[in-house]
Amino acid sequence: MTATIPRSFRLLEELEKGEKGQGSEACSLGLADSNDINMTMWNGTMLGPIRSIHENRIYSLTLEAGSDYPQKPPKVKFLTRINASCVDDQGNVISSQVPCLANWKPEYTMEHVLLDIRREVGSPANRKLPQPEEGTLF
Amino acid sequence: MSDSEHPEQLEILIKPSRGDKKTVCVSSKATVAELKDKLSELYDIPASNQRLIYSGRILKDDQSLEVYSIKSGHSLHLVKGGSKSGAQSTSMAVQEPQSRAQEGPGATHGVPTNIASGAGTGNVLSDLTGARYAGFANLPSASMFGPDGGMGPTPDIDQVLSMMERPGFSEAMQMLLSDPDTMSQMNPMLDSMPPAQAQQFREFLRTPEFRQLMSDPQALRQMFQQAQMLRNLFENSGESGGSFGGFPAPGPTEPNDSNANSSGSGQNPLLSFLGNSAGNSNNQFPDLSALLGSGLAGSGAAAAVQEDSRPPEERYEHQLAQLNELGFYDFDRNIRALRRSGGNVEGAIDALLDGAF
Repeated sequence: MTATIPRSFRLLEELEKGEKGQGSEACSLGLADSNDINMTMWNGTMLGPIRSIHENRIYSLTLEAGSDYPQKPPKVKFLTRINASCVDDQGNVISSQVPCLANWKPEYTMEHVLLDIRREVGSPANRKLPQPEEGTLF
Repeated sequence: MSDSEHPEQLEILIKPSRGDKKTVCVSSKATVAELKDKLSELYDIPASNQRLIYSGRILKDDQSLEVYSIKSGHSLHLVKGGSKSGAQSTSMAVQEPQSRAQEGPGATHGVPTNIASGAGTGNVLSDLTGARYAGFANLPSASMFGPDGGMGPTPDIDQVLSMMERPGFSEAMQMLLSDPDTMSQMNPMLDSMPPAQAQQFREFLRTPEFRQLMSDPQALRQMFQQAQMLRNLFENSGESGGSFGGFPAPGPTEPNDSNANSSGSGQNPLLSFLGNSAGNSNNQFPDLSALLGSGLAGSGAAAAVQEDSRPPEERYEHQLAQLNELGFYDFDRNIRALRRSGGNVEGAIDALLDGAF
């Protein structure tokens, strides 16, 4: 019914939002390589959820918006080491553990993804897990 | 990117996690460290504690801004790293009071263990309605609460019970009940009791049986049902029903021998409680019903009794001023966040930062 927005339009929109910081203040998003015309690899940061063991930590992630984005969700990986049920031991975010990845809709943006992961990391199951030393990388 | 001969003047918007957004002018050749120096004057955060984030990257001190291809009109997030901003939140996030040690292994796992440590608003249970837990699976849905974080007149028993059946609740309740301070805060009646009795009562409250009772949905369901039966009984027989009409304020508490019951003969405290109340004799157990009421309803029960009818901008005057100071200017959003958090500024900030509104 609705026309699908071309991938590049969507990503440009998300890029602008990221650069101008118009999104949530808890997350930030931008192209990993500003010369990448395919806009595939993205960097993201997320502030550790308040009142969790992650508070005051900044987590760096990469997001890969494949050629079928936004029909398919981005692949997300933590660069900063984190111990959470939704992250495997390589840093990959386990899609089934993150609601918006598990039930992906093309309307979702990478910011949604970051916020959802952040929420997951701050969930009761995760908020008190012992964490690796701050700033260490996968 | 930019012309390397002629460094560009960049106008960058700085968005701190707390405080006002400010625009700074820097050369695209400036290093991140130089920018931080500049910001340390504007924001009173030492450069070493500043973290700057742009486009999903944490900026490194020794890089120049043009490396990150920051352009005029773009914004950087400024996050205070290192030292903590508020001592209170530190202790809430990290500290676990020693008294928890008595809980069984895993009892507190996955439960907000700070529930009993008290938040700014003076009601130990206010956290339950706070926005900071919004989205946490084991807490009641927002629909349970009226505006201003309180609940409606009386929560539906089934609703309450279904809330209690969620994982984690009984542990949280157990923990809450195991803390004598919580109990006396929840129930000012305790303070007005003669010390010896209050002590006894507290001890009773701390018995594992009682805690078990209060946190076991099954037992409570039973208790509610029996209370309901009794109330019907009273109504039918034309009696006022005293202490049972929707758990109103507790009746007079006079010392008498039935104390012996309370401190525990080891029998089912539920039965003795109901027995005594049914007889409407002088005893201290009506307190329990008030306790139960307010305990279950969180801050709601108390709030519902004395509904605050002042307009929100008046009621939250103080909190709004604080939010404004922190750079949240959207009045409607602020009000909504405050209502959701029950007037707790920190909770409201969390919600605002999460972009929940």
